[in-house]
Amino acid sequence: MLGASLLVASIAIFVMIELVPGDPAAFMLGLNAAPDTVAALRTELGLDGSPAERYLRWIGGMIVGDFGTSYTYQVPVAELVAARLFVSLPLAIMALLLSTIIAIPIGLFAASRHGKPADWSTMGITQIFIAVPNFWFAMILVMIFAIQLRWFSAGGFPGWDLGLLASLKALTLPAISLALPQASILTRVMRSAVLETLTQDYIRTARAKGLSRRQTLFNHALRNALIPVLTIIGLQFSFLIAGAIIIENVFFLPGLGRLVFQGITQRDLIVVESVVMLLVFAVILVTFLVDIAYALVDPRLRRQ
Amino acid sequence: MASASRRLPVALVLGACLTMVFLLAAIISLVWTPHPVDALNIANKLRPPGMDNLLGTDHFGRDMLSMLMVGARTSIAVAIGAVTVGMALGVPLGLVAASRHGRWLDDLVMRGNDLVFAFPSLVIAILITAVFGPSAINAIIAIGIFNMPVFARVTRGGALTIWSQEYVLAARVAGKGAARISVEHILPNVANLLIVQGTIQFSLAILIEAGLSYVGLGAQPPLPSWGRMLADSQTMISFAPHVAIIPGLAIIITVLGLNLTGDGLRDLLDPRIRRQR
Amino acid sequence: MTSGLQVTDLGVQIGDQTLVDKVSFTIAPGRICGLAGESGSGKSLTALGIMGLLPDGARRTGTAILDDLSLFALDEKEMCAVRGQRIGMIFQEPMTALNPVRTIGDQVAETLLVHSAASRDEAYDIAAEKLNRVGLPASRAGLQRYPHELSGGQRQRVMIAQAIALRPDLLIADEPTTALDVTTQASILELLGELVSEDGMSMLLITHDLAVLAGVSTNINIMQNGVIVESGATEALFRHHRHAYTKKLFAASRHIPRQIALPSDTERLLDVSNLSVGYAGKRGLFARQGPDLTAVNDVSFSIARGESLGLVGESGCGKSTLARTILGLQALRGGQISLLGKNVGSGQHVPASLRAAMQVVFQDPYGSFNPRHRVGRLIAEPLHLLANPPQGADREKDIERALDEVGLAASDKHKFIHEFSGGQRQRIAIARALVIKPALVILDEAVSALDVSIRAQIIDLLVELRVSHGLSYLFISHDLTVVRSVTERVMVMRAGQIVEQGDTADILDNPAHSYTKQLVAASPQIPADWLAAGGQHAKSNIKGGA
Repeated sequence: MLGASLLVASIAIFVMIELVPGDPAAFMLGLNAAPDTVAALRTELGLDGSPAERYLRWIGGMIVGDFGTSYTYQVPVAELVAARLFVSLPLAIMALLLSTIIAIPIGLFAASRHGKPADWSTMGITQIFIAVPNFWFAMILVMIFAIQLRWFSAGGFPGWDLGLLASLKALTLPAISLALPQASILTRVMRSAVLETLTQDYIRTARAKGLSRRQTLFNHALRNALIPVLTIIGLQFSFLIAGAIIIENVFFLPGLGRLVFQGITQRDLIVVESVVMLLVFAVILVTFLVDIAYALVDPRLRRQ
Repeated sequence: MASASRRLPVALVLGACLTMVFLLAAIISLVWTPHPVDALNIANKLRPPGMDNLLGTDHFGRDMLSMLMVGARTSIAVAIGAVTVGMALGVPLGLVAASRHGRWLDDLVMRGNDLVFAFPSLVIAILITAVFGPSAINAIIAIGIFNMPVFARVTRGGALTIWSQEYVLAARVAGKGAARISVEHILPNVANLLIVQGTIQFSLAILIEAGLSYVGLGAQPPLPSWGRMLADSQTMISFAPHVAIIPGLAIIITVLGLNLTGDGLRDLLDPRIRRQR
Repeated sequence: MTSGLQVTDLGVQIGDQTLVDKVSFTIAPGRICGLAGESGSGKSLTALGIMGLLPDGARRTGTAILDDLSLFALDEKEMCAVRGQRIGMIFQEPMTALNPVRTIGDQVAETLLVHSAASRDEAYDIAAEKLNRVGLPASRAGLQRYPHELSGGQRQRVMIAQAIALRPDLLIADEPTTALDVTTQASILELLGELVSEDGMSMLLITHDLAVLAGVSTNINIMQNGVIVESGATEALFRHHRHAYTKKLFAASRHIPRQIALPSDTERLLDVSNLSVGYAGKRGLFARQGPDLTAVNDVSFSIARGESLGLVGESGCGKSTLARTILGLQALRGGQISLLGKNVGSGQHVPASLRAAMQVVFQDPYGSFNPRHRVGRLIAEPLHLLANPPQGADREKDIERALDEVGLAASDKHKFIHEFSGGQRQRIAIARALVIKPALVILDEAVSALDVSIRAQIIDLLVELRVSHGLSYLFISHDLTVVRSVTERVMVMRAGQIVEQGDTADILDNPAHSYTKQLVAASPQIPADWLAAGGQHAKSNIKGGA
């Protein structure tokens, strides 16, 4: 299933990038290029050959780790991507962890205090934070914490070899601005999942056995409520990736976002193709992992 | 029971008010704005909010309030376009999938759905703009394509519940085919779900459009947009914060209003009506 | 030894509605006390009230004394200690009453662990022992199993094991067998009886089924609208009840509609020969095909014009599939169905005229109708099958006539379905089936979801309509008493096959096949001599006015 999805995704990307502009070489060089230059580039890029052949060459290359050579930088794309990956990926993961750690306890708490001030104030706050664009929030954070208070730098990334702590510090504000709207969504989902679970019959059975409300919440409601929450976490990951790319702009982080936007401006189709493929791969992988996690949490989904 | 008191939910009222403000601003901007938006007035640049310019001016001396109003137009246009595209593609897909549940067509549609989900709007926008160049239309297409699986999934989910109801079985006994049943029985009953989801997707589209414009992939100048206002403001944030804060607040209020409206509609249209047994 | 439970003047209010009022009864140790009533009578709330599990916002008055412990005076923490330890409770729907993501071993052991009655290992040992006690030995359903892997009856046994794990003084059972098949019901009731007599436990058995109570309870309380209207020792109550409601209830539960004489020489309306229906295993895009299922296996029978044929069987036997296949909604695998001499195919291949000759009434009065359509439109739905469907005024006349025939008003056609009660909705369902004047009506558990008194009325209606319209019925039900009163012939179905068919009275009084014998034996009956005319004797207690 994983393989099939990746295959179809790669075909879609290939079609968009290589087939739609007609002649990628001409597209990349622009209107004023001489025909000779275009022809030379075509050969260099291996663009002579049927679409099917080109596609297979591309896929084959990717499997062995050869993503082609960036036209702009004349460097293997794999190198470019690898360096940037180590910024974008940790950022996305940090944001995911942060939002999950915040959302699950607060959602649980709000559900347990349903109807009381703790509940509707949580709902109000999350409702507002969902409407906040993460890049704007990032700008505000920079304004307050970097410019005014000088606790963090306003942007840039020192590089992992300069120390774990320094790098994490550089990623903190970005991760927080990414995590905030996600955490808000997740909190609401968690709360409604728990509330929904609490209406189930087995909760009544648990109380009839002598469990207190608190015991019922933790022993029965929590685990069952995690199932729909898992779905949302999986879905949100694609938003996280998109958000990470945008956030990098605010903080001048040397991640995949900058790479791909430059690629667009410079018409470097090779780079764009590869980065998009990578991003899509990441999302599909996460969906796949979520499916596995489902089977772990819900025994009804395990194959006999 | 207390269904006679069809008091509108608080969320709906509040949300509708906020949304109205935003819609009115956009509509009014078609005929009037406090100051002309295309007039550059460098001498007046970066004025904080005051009597002349209610929300201040930007780095070109343009009135912020007017810019916001016109920017609202872009946001609405893109959001409406995206939701329409998403619905037009997604709803029929969901209906068909539900009517063929358990067979290969349903599976195919669902797998296709998951696949499109794997492409965040941003990525689709990247793909499209890499080849066709950035524009508002491309933003609509990108967000619309991403909306499609959402509507397909919601429609299918709602439709499946209704297909399993006995009155659909009764319609089949009365000899009606799947297509007719989908239109006569299924669609009206999922309409509620779609209205609520549409409102939510609308608010989401505004957020995404802002993001796309921010990185330069959305509406291009001279078409104004909130996202680009924010991009432009970034360098001035330390000495003229209002240029950054204000468009952000506009986005927040608009999206909040729409979300509240969506939540309120959901409460209103809920099977509370059906609970009168 | 305990002295049982004594409930005095229990009241429950929610909002400004009083749902339970001054309910008093005593449950002696080692006895089964019955609490009977129709839906909405307040019996479940009474039980929840005793347990302290009422919904938020409900107010409770009165007292309940278990031994010398005044339950309502306890705070929540103390009550938690009582629940599961001194009072256990089991509920109606075993499918949803168990947590689907935890093993049955976990859930039974939980009762012990929560009350700190055993260490972790001990708890699981005791859990295994209790599961064994309720008829689930480790070989059949080990501690590692999940609820969805068990059948309905097995799940209910797990529920019981949970509830009695600490040998409580009292077990409250709220409709414990209502959702179960007849044979399963019999075995669960037997188990409960054993537990009561062997462990000296008392039991409060709540149910709407009087026949069940006749078989097992020592005394019965009858509830109506939140009040106990009559109570007494079981046999005495059946023989000598006085309250009008009790009379009504008992009369309805043994109601026999008027019997019809069938003309002897009638043509065959429906002919089913060697019918087989199966489901291909579910197949997805890339998944392998699942195993094939045979739902109906070589079934043959016929229905004459004007005849009422019963179909009896337990869940999963294939009766619904059979019904759907006859209606042309399901493809056949083998054999033939012919109606009025013409072959019935399936899907698109069934001509409209043939569909018009047979209609259906379902079980669920709530789910059978589109909530957004008005009643007039709902009733008229089958009319499009006619070659020349009536339009305008003619159509309205047809709708009004249908409503009139089922005892409703013509003006009801403008209302929405949610404005009607369960019994009225079934009438509308019947009207919908009749509007097109079919020859055959299939009734799939059409009265099973109705209260006893309403059920009697609907059965009467069905009988009258049969006479006035010359209808034939295929009456599907799991309830033998109803089948006996409404059908001339009956078929017994099991695992897709007809094991026996013949005259109703013959089959039910002298069953030949072992399965039929099992079914008949398992069906709870009120002893016939108890139901001689209800006399006046001061043996029963009447509460409140008639």
